[in-house]
Amino acid sequence: MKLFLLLFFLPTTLVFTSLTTYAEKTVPIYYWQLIDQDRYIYRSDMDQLNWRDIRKQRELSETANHDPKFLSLNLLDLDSAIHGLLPVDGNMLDRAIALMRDPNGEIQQVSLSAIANQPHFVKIPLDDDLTGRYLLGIHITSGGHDIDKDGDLDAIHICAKHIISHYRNGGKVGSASVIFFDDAQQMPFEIAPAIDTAKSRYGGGIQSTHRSYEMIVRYMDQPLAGTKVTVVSSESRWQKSFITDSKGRFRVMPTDDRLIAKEWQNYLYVATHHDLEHNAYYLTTLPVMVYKNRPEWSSKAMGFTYWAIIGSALSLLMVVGLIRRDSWYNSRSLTIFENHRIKKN
Amino acid sequence: MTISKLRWSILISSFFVLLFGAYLGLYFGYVLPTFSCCYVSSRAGTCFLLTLQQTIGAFTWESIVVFLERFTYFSLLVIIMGRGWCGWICPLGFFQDLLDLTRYKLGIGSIRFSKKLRNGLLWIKWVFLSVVLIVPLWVAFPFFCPCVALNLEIPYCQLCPGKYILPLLVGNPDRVAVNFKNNTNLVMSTLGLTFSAALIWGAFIKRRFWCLFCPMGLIISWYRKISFFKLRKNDLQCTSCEICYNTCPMEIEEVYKSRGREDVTFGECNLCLKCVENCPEKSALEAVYLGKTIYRSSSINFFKKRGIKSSVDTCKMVEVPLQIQIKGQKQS
Repeated sequence: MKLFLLLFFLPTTLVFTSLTTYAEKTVPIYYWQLIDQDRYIYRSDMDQLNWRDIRKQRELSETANHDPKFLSLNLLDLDSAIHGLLPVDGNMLDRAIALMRDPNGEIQQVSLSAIANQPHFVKIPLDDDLTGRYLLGIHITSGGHDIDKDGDLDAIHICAKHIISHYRNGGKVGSASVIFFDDAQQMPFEIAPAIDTAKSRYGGGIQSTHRSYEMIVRYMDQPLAGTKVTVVSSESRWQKSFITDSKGRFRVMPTDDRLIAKEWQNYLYVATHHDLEHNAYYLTTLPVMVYKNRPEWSSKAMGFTYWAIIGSALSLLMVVGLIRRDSWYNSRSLTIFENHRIKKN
Repeated sequence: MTISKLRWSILISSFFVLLFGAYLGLYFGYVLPTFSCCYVSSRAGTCFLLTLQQTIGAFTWESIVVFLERFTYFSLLVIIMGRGWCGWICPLGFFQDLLDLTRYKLGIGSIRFSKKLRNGLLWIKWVFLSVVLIVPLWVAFPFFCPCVALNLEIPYCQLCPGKYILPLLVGNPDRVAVNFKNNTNLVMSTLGLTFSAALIWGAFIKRRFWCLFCPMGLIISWYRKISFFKLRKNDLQCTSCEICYNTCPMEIEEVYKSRGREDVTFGECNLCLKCVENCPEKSALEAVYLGKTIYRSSSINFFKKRGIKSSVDTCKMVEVPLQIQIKGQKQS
């Protein structure tokens, strides 16, 4: 009986405690979500299609890259899947500042609009021709929560962020595709992948499974050491917590969620920081798309056959060429010999 | 500063600007007629062969427009510099020159290909060019074996030694590995690594070995008639001493052999101007830009390069032993 109780209650307790580890329960977790994410995914089963469908898929993918992207602001429902949306508190958004940093490094304020089923969404970019990495952020402030139960009210700062790549053939490449807003007043708390922005003008918002990624957490434009970051996957609710090192960094390796049929999943990074000196509680979110690996059991027979035929054909050609060359040399030598013999006679 | 030193300075500067320029915020687009490899993430511009393969590989109206736009810029750049891009700017050319210099310092001799052998190897660059132009058409319209075609995007780049050597030179050894992702990548990366090894091995035995097979050089050579940068020869001054042939890294015989031909900018000439620098005859060879002579051969340069101060001094040096000899004869 004791064993039964242990087996029953221990996993249940673990599940419930783990779900509440993102942040304080009283602090809402806002995050950006790219609308129609399927459009931006490269299908790994393209070789199963016929050539017309392949071209159509490519066209769709190119159009998706060219077109403006729409992002909606969501509130994470801790008790359901990551896509379980809760209505965003309009009063909180009144005091919010939504920002966009374009690939030239310029920051501008953007306004949240409403469409039929998406009450708070943003369109990016404003200039379609400017290609590179765009940052979208929102800084929501609210007061009046005693987080640490010390009798003093703590101000709440929620900084939701998203990294979007925009590419247009022949478009103007931005000169400063950065990963941070570098504006401590407007976006005091940020999380981003540690990529060399000089080398990489796009990307940052997409990760692949089984690859190691380094992430950085910054508070007031400075790396924040010892802060807790939780990453949670969209479908399986797999989650893991990390503590940043002295440089504000931590390493994460996304895992392959084999339960989902889709070729991608979402990860949400949530970092929190309690500034006891200023009685302020900070929370930042960053969603990324995680590509699954191509299934190992997918057939490679066709490619193998193709290269085997090409290799055999080239080898055969070479052998035939060498034989022909040899016989040509022989016949030429014989001709020369015969000519000499005739002359001699 | 001699022309060789100037060329080395420009080659070194170009190497750093093209492969590390992104750190300075430099970017010259996808139109460069030189191997500024797309696999070097800190590059300041991208090789035009990438554009060529990508736009053919997409084959849509939009990609054709992009191609035409970039092709215009590419053509302008080629017209301005001609194959000077190969001799003065190419990072892969610089690497080969560096290996050649190492070989020279180690006292290892180089070999020279006969004209017959060079002509026999000509087909290789045409095969590479067909990989640049024809294989992407299959990628655009994968009628058969799409599993292979879809993995053949930018096919020449997968074969190009620049993909493996240039990232290695900027400190990224990740590319120097066989790609086991699928059969096509396995074959292409194995071939690419083989060509890279051939380049390194070849550069130790022959100057500018890979330039013989380079499809970019082939494309640029088509512009030589309209390019601003040219090599001119004065038949009256030329004594056919063959020094130009001996110093030419591309081993072009036609420069000293040709008669009655002023413009000696041959297709394979990468305009390094070594022939002009080493020519002992005054104004026999000239580097011309927009019809204006910018550098000409001279006997003074020739003697200076060999550590002889001037032709007058040479005469004196020759005269002295003669006088002694005469005096000696008289004494006896």
